[in-house]
Amino acid sequence: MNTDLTNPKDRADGSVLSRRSFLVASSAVGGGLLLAATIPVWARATPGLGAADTGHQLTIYARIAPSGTVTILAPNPELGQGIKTALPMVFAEELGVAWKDVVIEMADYLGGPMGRQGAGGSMSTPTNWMPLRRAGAAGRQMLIEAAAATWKVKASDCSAEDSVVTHGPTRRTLSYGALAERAARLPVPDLTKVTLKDESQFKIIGTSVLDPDKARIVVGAQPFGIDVKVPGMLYAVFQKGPVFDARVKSANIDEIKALPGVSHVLVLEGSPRVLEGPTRGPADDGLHHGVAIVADSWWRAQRARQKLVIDWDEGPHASDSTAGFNARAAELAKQKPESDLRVDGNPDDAIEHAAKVVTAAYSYAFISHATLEPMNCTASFKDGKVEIWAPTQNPAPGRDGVVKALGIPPENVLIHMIRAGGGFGRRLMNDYMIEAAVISKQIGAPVKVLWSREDDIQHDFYRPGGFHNLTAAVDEHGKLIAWRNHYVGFARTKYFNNTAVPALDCFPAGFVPNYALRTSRISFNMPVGPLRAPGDNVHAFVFQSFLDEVAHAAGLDTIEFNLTLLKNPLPGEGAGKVGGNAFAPGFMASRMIAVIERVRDMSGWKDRSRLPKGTGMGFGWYWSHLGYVAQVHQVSVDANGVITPERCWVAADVGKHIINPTNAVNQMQGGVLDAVSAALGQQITLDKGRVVQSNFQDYRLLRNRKIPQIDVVFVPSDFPPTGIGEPPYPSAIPAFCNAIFAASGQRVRKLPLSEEKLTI
Amino acid sequence: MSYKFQVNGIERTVDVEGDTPLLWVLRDTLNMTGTKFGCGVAQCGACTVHVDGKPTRSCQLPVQHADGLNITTIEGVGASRIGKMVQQAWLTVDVPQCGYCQAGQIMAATALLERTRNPTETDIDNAMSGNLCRCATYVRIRAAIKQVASQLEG
Amino acid sequence: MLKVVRNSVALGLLALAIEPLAEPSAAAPEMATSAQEISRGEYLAHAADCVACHTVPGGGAFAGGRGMGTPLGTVYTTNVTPDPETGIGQYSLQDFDRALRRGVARDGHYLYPSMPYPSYAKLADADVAALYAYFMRAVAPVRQANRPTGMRWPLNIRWPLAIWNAVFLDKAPYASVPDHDAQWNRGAYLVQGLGHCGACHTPRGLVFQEKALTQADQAYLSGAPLDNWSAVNLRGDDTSGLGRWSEAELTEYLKTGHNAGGTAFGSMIDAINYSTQYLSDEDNAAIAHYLKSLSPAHPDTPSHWSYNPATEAALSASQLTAPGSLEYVQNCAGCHGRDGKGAAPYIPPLAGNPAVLDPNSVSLINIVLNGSSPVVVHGTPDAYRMIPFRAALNDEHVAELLSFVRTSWGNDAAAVSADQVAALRANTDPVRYEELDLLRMR
Repeated sequence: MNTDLTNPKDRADGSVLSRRSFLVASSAVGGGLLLAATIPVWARATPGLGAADTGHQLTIYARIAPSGTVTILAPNPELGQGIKTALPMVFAEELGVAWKDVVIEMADYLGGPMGRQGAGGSMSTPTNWMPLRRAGAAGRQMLIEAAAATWKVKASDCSAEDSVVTHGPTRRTLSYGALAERAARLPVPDLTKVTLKDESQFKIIGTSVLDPDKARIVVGAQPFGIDVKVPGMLYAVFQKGPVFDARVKSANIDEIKALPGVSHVLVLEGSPRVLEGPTRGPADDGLHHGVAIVADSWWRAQRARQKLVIDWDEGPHASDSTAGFNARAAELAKQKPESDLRVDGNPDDAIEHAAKVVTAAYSYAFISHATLEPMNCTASFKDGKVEIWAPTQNPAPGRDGVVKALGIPPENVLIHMIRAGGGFGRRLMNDYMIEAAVISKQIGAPVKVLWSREDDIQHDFYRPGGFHNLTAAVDEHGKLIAWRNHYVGFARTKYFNNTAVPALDCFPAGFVPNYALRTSRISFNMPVGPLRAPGDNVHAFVFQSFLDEVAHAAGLDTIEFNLTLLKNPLPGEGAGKVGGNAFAPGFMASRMIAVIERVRDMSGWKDRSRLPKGTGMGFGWYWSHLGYVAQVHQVSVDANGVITPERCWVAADVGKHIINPTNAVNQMQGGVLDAVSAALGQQITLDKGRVVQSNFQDYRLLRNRKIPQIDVVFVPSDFPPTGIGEPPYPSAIPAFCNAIFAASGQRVRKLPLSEEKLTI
Repeated sequence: MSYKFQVNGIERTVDVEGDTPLLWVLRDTLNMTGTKFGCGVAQCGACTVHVDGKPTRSCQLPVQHADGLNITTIEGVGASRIGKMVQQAWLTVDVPQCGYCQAGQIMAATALLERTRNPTETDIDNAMSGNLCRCATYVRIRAAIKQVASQLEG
Repeated sequence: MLKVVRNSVALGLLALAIEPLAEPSAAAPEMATSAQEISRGEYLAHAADCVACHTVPGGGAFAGGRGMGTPLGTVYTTNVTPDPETGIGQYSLQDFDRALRRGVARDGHYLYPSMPYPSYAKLADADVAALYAYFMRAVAPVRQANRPTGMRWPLNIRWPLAIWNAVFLDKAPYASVPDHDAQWNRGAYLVQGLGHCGACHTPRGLVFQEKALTQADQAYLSGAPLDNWSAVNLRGDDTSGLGRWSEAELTEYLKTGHNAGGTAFGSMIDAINYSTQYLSDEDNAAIAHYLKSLSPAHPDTPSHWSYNPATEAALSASQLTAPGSLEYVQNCAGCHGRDGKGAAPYIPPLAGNPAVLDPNSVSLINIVLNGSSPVVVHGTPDAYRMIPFRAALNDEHVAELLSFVRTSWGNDAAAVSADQVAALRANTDPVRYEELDLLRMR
């Protein structure tokens, strides 16, 4: 994903960070960056953690109390991806604290010292791995120096482990609790010069650690954004138009104001948006036009909303429809593409003269994120400052948006990041945060804005649909010699949303001598945004399914066909897909090959012909957000198109270390099922400019039945760890769909599968 | 209007409109936020409580009908032997990801195991398919239920 | 045989039956109509539910345009605002009366009995005058031309309606029946006349005539299909009639759309939303009193419903082998309960609900597939609504589910087939979740 969540300064030289930005040492209780005092009780990791136990600040990430409790701040927000636990584990490892002494606390958004503190792109792990290790190592070094000074010995004769510093020659020890005050007064070492642990000595990283929040979750004591309650708080619902960007002409405000419990009815004007230019950030994030109802309970606000009658100016898109989009796509597919994005060799010529040609049209629907916790935010505006409690993935642009909407300086905006009931990319947007801030300012009281499920489904930032018109050719030996795609996608300007259109270096570009990616645009007006593995979450389906078609047409084993391609990149292109960033190298075919071979072997792929009639195996691979994943799925399909998923095998290379194995496996299994869920029945359609779906009876998520066994294996490689939230998703869909083909002979070219008369 | 009912063994009295769903009475009037809101139309199960031990979608229980009932929520289900075992299994197996649906899952699973000590795959399908998990922790939900079942057997 | 006789009589009456084409009268002179009469007219317009047919969502009040299905095709309701060119602005009181009680427009053309003039024929003269005052004085004129019918020649010729009227139209206004009390007679007047309940609830014959217009015939209000719904039997049958509802419960239903036994759905929602909620308690009680006096429609096949707890016991014990029981638990029990009792008045029971026991299952299929519009009382819509399950359940599942519902908790009604569901699915659309879209009289 291209969303830039990290402070560019952090990446300048790769992995070393400016010490000024990152380390603050202060000693006095109550001084320095003492965040605990400003975090209300229910936002803290351990309810009841009072100022008395704040301890001594050791680096920006930790406080050590005299008792020895080490409070580690989790910098990035927790949405279920496990980062609130994994990042503190990395810091704790290098700090040398015993995990039993650790208490985790969610950091507030600090506006810079901890970076952008965003969780997305599966980037939390790769971007924080080295910085947190160095910070932890620095803290350990300071503790050792404090001990050495206390004993008047050489620091080099001391070691630190399990919350204790030991003087080697005399076996004297001092606990971290005893050393904290003195250590906190020491100058901070140069981060480029700290000594990191030998990775073979890791005691915390690589062990399964239970997120402490979960003990509260199972007894209903863990607050999510929706659970926030502050004194004097009112509740708001916000009614937006049935057609996107509809403006309020008039509303029965007086009638609503008179309803029980209602205190305010506000007509809000949406903020202006810039749609022209390459869409870098989501143009639709921010306040939209609508009417807010504020009341003394959410139920009363919601009941009042049901009597709201708004005369909308629906604007020029009130007749847009999915049927219209589909017709336009079909029209464009027949015409010459508008643009050539990439052309290698002469694909048209090669196709014309090829031994075997395969042509197919693929398409997929828009889908909605549908996090189980609907969008919400609590804000309290007072005396020119606003305090915000937000289940957000992305506080930095949130703060920017609030600053702009309220006209106050950034230092007057305090954002507490509250555990979110799912993100999946939806909470990278901060429209709910800006709504809450604006309403709070207008009413002069704290307010919680909570969306209904219907609001949530009908005002999402959708994963856009798309259409791919593919032709491929193989020579008489079954070698892929040409690949041509006319992508027809949705765009409001000259540009596609940057994750909707396939990347220029998207496989098999760089692996086939004649390649073309050409595009045409369908005009539309819907908010779109990133959803778990943006782009990849549909491109894997299209390209891996089509490759399966081509292999099948050539009479070749799909896995072997893919391996042959991967083993033979074009000369001069090197690794094929470039990708990568400062935290991890670009695509390495060798890593992908290892993962594919592993999944082939663990699934028994070679014996699949022995499966009974009606049962089949399918394969898919994808490199997504730096993770290498290959999957084999086994399904059976009956005569009525009813699918029974039986097994999934997933092999993944996400680097050398799996920081928290129990979480990693959970993520992999969840990612596979999330993808299968989307493929089976999720779609958002438009009629008369309105989203047709409204709740879970017509926006169908996978349910807990017919759940297959999912075996996950990690294939370690000698690279720093990368993220796991997104990598398992993309390749699941083609593996599932190719398995359906193997089982039934029905080739899936359209998502969701319910449109192809396939159900679970 | 005033309504009175037991929540986790404690008598509670509330004064709200009779059509208010019990879900919102629990969350906003009684400040018990463990029971969650996911859809408002009994499609997701996040609002599941027990009424006399039976799993009930509290978003569709008007408080007028809760009058006089015995209600158990996620905050109190651990007082029962099986409830506590289920909560413990949820941690041992490390079921949750975001955790938002899990209160409802635990309530549904507890009711299942109270009724059927050794549920089959179909029993689990039938009892649990009304509880959505967007993170799709279904593999571990099922594993945790089976773990409790084996503990009950042993 | 009877039909043939009837038809020849009808032909014979043709010459006598055609209303003398009166000269269209000149525009009505100014009338002295009191505010009180206008207000009474408004009340009567509520009672007659004029707005529900003569207004479309988003359209001008009483400007017409709603399509009404007839066996011959679609007719569109007309503009009854006092606009002089496109509405009834030129109508005298006699013109208005002739349309309302005789089904003849000012220019002499016959109205289709989709306009329930056979019921309005029972109106008292004073009520017609009050309605006239209301429409002429209190309704805003709207310039909107009437939409031609969707019928092709020869189906669109009107003069055969003269024959139809001759045979089926009873021109006598309502006359009190002496052996019943005042409340009963008021109820009869409201039901037979203003309420035109028979227009939906009485079965119709081959030429679209209501088979009975008063309680004298057992067919009266015995239930009839309409527009992909089934208007229930309002007579005293125990299972699928109103036999088990008390007068008080029926009064509450008319006033609020809900009671312990059920919730209004389908076209009846129009009646609640725009008509009966505005009637006085006395008038609603009178309607209830009259309806409760109606004998069973099927006295030869008496039935009795009583609650059977076995279904609840089975569902609670997760015995889900009966077809449709799993679908019920997964989709319906969350609101309607494993005990089938719902949460009245908010969520209707399925156990013993006369609509559930209706021999014609089309309403049930419609509601399950398409959800339900809200009942809106005094501007407040229902807090709890039935959602559409069209996307969630296929035809087989809906059929099994409804067959299960109709045979559980003591219910005993015919099974539903997948073909029936498929037909409804093709012919109907789901209720859209949108903000309130009420018809307004002003």
